[in-house]
Amino acid sequence: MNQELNKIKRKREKIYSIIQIINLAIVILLVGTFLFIISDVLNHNFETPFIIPFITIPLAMILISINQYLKRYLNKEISKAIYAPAFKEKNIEFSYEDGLTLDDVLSSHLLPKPDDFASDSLTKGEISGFPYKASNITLWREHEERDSKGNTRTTRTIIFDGRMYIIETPFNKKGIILKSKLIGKEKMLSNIIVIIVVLTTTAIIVPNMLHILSDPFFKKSFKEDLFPFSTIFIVFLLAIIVAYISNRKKGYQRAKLESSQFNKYFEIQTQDQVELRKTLSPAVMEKLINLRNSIGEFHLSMIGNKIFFAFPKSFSVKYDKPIEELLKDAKEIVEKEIETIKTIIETLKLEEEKIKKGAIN
Amino acid sequence: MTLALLLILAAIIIGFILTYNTVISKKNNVDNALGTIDAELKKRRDLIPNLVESVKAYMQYEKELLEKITKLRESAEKTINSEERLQIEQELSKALYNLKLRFENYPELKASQNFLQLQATLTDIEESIAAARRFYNQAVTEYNNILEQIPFTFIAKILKLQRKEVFTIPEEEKANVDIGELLK
Repeated sequence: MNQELNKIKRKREKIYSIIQIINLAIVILLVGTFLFIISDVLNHNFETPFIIPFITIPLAMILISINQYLKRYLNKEISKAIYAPAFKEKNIEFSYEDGLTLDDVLSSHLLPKPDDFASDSLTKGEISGFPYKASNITLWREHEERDSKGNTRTTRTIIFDGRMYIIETPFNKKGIILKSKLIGKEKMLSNIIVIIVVLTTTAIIVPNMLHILSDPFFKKSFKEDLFPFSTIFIVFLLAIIVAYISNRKKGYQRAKLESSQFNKYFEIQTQDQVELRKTLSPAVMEKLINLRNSIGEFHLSMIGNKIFFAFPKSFSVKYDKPIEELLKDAKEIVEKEIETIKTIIETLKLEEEKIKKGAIN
Repeated sequence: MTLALLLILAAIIIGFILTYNTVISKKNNVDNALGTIDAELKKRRDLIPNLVESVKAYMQYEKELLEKITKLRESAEKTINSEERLQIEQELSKALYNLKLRFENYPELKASQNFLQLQATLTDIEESIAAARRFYNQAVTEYNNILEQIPFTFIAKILKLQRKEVFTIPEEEKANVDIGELLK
C-alpha cells in the first residue's frame, strides 16, 4: 500500500507541477494580452489591437480546459488511492469503478429523479452484523436556456453530491422518510436569500404590472379578452397545485412528532403513523437529534427491510493537498459515517429487542 | 378598479377555502387518529380470549382476575359509545397490566411456546396502542392550536368546534406496583 501511495505521491507532484506551469502560462497570456490592448489603445493604434487577442484568448481557453482535465484526472487517481486504504482498514470491500445504480438510489425515496447520474467508489461490508453497500453518488438536473437569438443552451445543477449507504436489516417497515432541514446559520442564510429574491422580484414585477394595467390599450384588450387572461391565471394556479402534489410521494403523509426540536431538524414522511411512532421512540429521536447536532446534515429512510442513509459530501478530494492529509480526512469521514449508521442501527435494534422481550415501561 | 376588486375578491375566496380546508383536515386527522387507537384496541381484544385460554390452566389462583378481563373485554366489544368504550379499555389495560405482573409467579408459563408467542404479540400490540396514542395526542395538539389561531378560529366558531382532550398516561402505568397485592 505504501508503494502505491508513493507512486500516487510522485504522480501528484509531477501533475501538480504541470498544472502550476499551465497556470503561469495562462496568467502570462492574459496579462500580456491586456497590456498589448492597453498599449495599442494608448498609442492610438486601432489597426491591429484585436489580432493578438484572437490568438491568445482561445489559447488560454485551451490551456484552462487542459488544466481542468488534469485536475479531474488527479482527483480521481487520489480518490482511488485514499479511499481504498480507508475502507481496507475497516475490512470493507472497495471498488472505485463501480457504484450504486440509479434504481438503488431512487428506491430510497430520499432524492428526486435526476436528469443525469454518476456513482463510484462502491463498498460492501457489514455494519452491526447487517450487510450493506454504499457508494459516492452525484445527481444533476438539466435546464434548457434560450437566448434572444433562439439558441438553446443546457446547463446542469447538482441536486445531490455525497455518499449513500443501503443496509439490509431484519426490520420490516412500510415506509419512513427523514430529511434533514436547514438549521441555524444555514437556515438564516437561505431565508435571507429568499427574502432578497422575493423583494427584488416584487420590486420589478409590481411597478411593471401597474404600468401595464394602467395602459388604455391593455384595459381595452383585457375587457375584450377576459377569457384568455382568466385561462392563463387558472393554468398558473393549477401548475402550482400539480407541482405541490407531485412533490408528495405516493402513499406518504407528512408527519410531526411531539418533539419540536425533532420537527425543526427533520422533515418527516410516513406511510403508517403508528409504525412511525413505534420506530421513532423518544430514545431514537434523541439519538437522531444528537447526531444532527454533531455530524450535520444527513437523510435517512426505512423502506421494507432496507435502511438508506444519504450523507452530503463534507470533504472533497483536492489535488493541491498533501496525500497524507487527504488520507487522514478520508479515514475520518469513513469512520464518522459508519459510526453514525452504527449508532442508529444499534438504537433501533435495542428498541426492537425491547418490544420483543416485552420490556416496556 | 373593477379588476382590483375582482383580485381582492378572488384572494378572499381562496383564503377562505384554504382556511376552511385546514380546519377540516385537522379535525379529520383527530378522528383518523382516534380510529387508529380503536383499531389497535380491537386487535388487543381479539387476542384476549386466546391469552386467557393459554394461561387458565397454569394460573388457577388468578381465576378472579381472568374473569374480570374476560368480562371487561366483552363489555368493551358491546359498548357503542366510544368514550365509554375507551374508559372500559383503560380498565382492561389496568387488569392486563396486573396479569402481566403476575406471570412472574408462574415460571412454568415460560415453557409454553404458545404463551410466549401470545405474550410477545400482546406486547407488540400494546406498543402499537402507545404509538397510536402519541399520534392522537399530536393530532389533538395541532387541532387545539389552530382553534385558537387567527383566521382558523373564525371558521372553528362557525362550525362550533370544541377543544379536545389529549390522552394522559394510564393510571396503571403511573401507579407504583402494589407488592402486597402481588404477594397475596
